Amino acid sequence: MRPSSGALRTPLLIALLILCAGSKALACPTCTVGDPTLTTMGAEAPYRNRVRVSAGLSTRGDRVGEPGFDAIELREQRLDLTAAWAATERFVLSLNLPLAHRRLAYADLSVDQLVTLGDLELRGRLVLFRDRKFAPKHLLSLLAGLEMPTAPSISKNGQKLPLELQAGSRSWDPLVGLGYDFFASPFSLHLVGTLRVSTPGMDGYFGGPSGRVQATFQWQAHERFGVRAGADMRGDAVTRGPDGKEPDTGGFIAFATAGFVAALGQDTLLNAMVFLPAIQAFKGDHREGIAAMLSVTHDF
Amino acid sequence: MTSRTLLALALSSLLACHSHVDGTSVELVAASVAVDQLVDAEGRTLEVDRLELDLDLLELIFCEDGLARRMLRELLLPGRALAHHGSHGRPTEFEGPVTIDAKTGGEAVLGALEPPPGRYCAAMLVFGDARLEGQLGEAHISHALTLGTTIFVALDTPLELSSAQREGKLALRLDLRELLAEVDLEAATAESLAEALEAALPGAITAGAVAVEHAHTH
Repeated sequence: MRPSSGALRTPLLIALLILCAGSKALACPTCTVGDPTLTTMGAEAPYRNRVRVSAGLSTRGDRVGEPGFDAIELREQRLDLTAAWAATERFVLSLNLPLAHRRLAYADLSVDQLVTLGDLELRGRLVLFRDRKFAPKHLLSLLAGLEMPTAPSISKNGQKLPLELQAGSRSWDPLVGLGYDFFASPFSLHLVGTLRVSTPGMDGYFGGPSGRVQATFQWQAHERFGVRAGADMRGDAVTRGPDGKEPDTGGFIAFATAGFVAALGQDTLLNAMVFLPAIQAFKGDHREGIAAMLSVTHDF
Repeated sequence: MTSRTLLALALSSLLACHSHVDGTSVELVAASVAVDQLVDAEGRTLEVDRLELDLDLLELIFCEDGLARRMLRELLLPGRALAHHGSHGRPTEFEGPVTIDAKTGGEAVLGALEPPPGRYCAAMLVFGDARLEGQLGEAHISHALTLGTTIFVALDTPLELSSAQREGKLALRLDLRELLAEVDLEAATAESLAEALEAALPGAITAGAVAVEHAHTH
């Protein structure tokens, strides 16, 4: 159930490197980039040696199967610990360590609760275009990352649960994407599109490609507070298992998102979002519920 | 103890945190009458050496889930019936094959199911292969039979499962002593014997459910 120490060694070294780099970082991030926009993790304008860490608590629900017959209901509370370091003015390296409490309720009334590691994610962001060095209005970034199979495999009576209910994919999953950020204080827009391509998993499952588009508009009504709204869409291909296509996998979901960002100090941000499922077009019996997220981000 | 060891211990205990609450469970048993002899249509007696039936599938059927509705569901959702819903099987189905030894008789545990709560009034049984061996006078008879027959059995007592009543027991009662009552054993081929068995099985099997009080958390 636990990842090997070898799988953790490299990410831990990277995390250490990021935190060590933080000791050389500058203060007052908004002053340094020349824009008063309160930016959440991943939406910021990078500057050399900018180090950000964040802790995000989130909750979400998922149900796979026919209610009252063979449904499995998941409720997950997750803690994402993320550290990001701008190695240069154009390149940001980040590492995300998820820890999750998962409650799985089965149709036969049995319930499992467990705390697990999720899949570690290492991500790089390369700024391809910025209209000007100081106070840029437009940022276009290339994203590339790798999800590592650090989550344990979850089974019931010796049978693996569907991939949708696992804490991770149990495979090495590279991802690529594009990000665009627009800053025109008091407004800003954050657009991210990513494509994750799974490799064959350790348990014989092969998750299909998954594409995700997030669009968040922010209106910073006050220098220390902004409201946010947008959409978060995801399309998943069908998962393949040892016996072929897995039922109740694949499809599309679109969430309407709303939230706020608030400055708790010069270097600390509070960010909260709710995700309301607006369109669900999953194949088979698969539903996702309302999700919510609260995170604190600190600049060193 | 170093701080690194303490951190490792704390992380290990956190990741090992796991709790489980048991759900429903139904024990499946076969209670068969021991069959030492079978008498055929001509009054001849077969001294039985071996009489075995393979149960390939048992499915519990909800009381409200009538046969027509059930068949319609299978037609509309054929993928669900065949795909065993992801990596976990249909919770009302027990898949064999398991062998019922009717020569020895007695009660034998076939397996267990973890079906959803509800009221079950019937069971669908699918029998696969059967084996019959014995001595008919001076002649030794040995047949390996392929049945593939499906039988619906109404439960004489419905099986009820709920959050308060999580465990139950379903007994299949087999009395195969009249199995060859319509067969001329000397003339019988494997095909005609298989047909005779398929015709006799529905009248030879009854089923009853007993719910038991038991629930615990660990």
